Amino acid sequence: MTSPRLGNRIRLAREETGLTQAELALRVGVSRKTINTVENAVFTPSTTLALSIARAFERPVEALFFLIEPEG
Amino acid sequence: MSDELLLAQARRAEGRHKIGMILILCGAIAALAGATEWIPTAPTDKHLWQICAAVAAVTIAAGLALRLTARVPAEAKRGRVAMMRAEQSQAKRQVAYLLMPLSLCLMLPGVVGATSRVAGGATIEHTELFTVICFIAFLLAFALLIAGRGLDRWAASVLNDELGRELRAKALQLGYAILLPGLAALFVVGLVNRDLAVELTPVLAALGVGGPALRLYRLERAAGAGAIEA
Repeated sequence: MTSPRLGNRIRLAREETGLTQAELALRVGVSRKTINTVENAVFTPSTTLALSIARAFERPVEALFFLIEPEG
Repeated sequence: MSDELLLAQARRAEGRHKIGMILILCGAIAALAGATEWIPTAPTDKHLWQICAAVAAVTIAAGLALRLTARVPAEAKRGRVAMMRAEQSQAKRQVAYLLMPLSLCLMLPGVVGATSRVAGGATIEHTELFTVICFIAFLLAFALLIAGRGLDRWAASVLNDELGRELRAKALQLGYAILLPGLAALFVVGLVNRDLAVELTPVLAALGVGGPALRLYRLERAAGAGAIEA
C-alpha cells in the first residue's frame, strides 16, 4: 500500500502575500533551499517546520499543507 | 549601513580569517615536517627541524594575528545579510565537497606505497610518515566538514537546518554503506592475505569519506535546483 504524499500551497500563499522564497526563509529561519524543496514537494518538512511556515503566513497549517491520496 | 557595505566588510574580515587559517595550517605542516625529522630513519641533517620550527612559529603567529584582528560586524551575523553570507558560504562548501575526493586520490598513491612497504617488513621513512599523517588529518577534517561541524553560530541556522541535516544524513548513510561491508571484506581478506588487507585499508578509508562528499555535493546541487533525490 502506498502512503499519501504531502502537498502544499506555499507558492500560492507567497504570491498572495508578495513574499519571495528568501524572505519567507528569513521569517522561518531556514535556508532558501529548504523553502524551495518544501514548496516543490520534494522534501517533506517536519511538523515543527510546517507549523513555522504556517505561522509565517498567519494561517492554520491545514490551509497550507494537505495530503494527496495515492491513485488506485 | 547598507547590506552591500556590510557584506563587503564581512567578506574582507572572512578573507583575513581564511588567510590566517591557511597560515596556521602551513605552520602545522612545517611543525609536523620538523617533528618527523626526529624519527630514526630520517636523514642525518638534524638541523632541519630547527628551520621547520622557525617557519612554523612565524606562520602560526602571523595566522593567529590575522584571525584575532579580523572582526565581522555584528549586524552581518543576523537577518538578511547573515542569510546571504550563509548561502555564499554554502556555495563554497559545495566546491570543497567536490575537491575532497580529488585531494584524497592525489594522496592515496603515496599512502598505499608507504603502507605496502611497511607491510613488507621495511621501516617507515620520515617522508612516508609525513604523508600518512597528512592523509589521516585530511580524512578527519573532511569527515567533520561533511558532518556539519565547525559552522559558525550565525551560519548554523541556515546551513544546518532541517534540509541540511537530512542531506548530511543521506551522505553519511552512503559512507556507512561503504565502510561496513568494506571492513567485513577487509577482515576476510586479512585472514587470507594480511599484507593486502593492510594495503587496502587507506583505499577503503578514502572511499568512506570521498563517497559521502560526492553524494553531498550532488544532493546540495539538486536541492538548489529544486529536484532532490528521493
